[in-house]
Amino acid sequence: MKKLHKQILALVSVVLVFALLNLSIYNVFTYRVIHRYGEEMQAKSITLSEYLPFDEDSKIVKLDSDFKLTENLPVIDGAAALYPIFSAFVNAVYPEDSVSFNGTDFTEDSALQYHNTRGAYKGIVDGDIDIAICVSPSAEQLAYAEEKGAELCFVPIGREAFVFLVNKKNPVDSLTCEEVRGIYAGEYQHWSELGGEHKRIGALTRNAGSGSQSALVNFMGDTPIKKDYDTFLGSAIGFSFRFYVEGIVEDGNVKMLSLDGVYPDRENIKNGTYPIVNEIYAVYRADNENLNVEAFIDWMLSEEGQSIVEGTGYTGIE
Amino acid sequence: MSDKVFYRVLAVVLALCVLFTAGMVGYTVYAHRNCSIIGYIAGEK
Repeated sequence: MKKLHKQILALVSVVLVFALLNLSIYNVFTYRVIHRYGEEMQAKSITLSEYLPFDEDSKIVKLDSDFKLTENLPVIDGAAALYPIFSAFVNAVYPEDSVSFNGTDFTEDSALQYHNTRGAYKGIVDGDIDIAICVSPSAEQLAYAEEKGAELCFVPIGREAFVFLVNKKNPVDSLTCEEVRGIYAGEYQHWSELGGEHKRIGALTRNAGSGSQSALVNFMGDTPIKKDYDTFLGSAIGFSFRFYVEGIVEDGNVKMLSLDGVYPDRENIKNGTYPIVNEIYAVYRADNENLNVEAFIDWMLSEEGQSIVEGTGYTGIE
Repeated sequence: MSDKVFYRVLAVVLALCVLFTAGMVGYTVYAHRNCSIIGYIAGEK
């Protein structure tokens, strides 16, 4: 009987050791990377079905415009963060049967498409789409356009703050632009060097060609970005666009940092005090022969189009 | 139980625990490759 007790104790001990090991792995590593916002959000960076045009429950700005396109509809695509804008444009101007969504993606014949920034720039150059709503392209995307002989036209239709983010528990609320450049260049190793806790800084980056990664590269200028500067045990800094953080993801566990003492709200974007404001462009090929492309972009710059940009949560062009 | 049975049971339990741990590590690596910047920052403890 005593032997049986020892054997059971040994088995229970093994299970407990592994349970503790797995609990530690979960707490330290898995919890940080677990998918928080649903599978669609994870796969596409935005839940397309929440911002569909011609849908009663859609979160987009609904506007009944007198300007309507009925034929030769430009195929429109763009960045995840800007999808609520171009979906609202389509809702205001296109006929309802021009958009087809199969529950996961837009079908090939749909005038509204979504392939995020990288796909949209490729689509414009390849001639698969007519208008892309994006921020500035990467050097690689411009090189691809040049290689294919595509001259791209960029029409600013709005503005948005490029923001840096930390966890809400991080005591640092404000950094200077030079400090942020220093972090991404690898000059600062710990938050304590910047007035925070003695935790390692993990400087997160995104895939090349994404809109926000291109914005980071532009922000860094000639300063090289240190690669693989990530840490599980420290505290991270990342970046995005203001409305994507505040209006789309809406995660209360992150906070946006002030830069040079200025918080990235709409007032500070409008009055020009926030230091990093990016243009939102309607991009098209100069040799696009569809006359509705320029007509549609002109409408985006009209009072109605700009009211959609502002109503969605971005800042219009004054 | 006899030693032979005990060691067999122990081997099975160990194998299951190792498999579960490997699954946890594999999922973590996969999720790390695919997680968003905002989600990663929000998940800090």
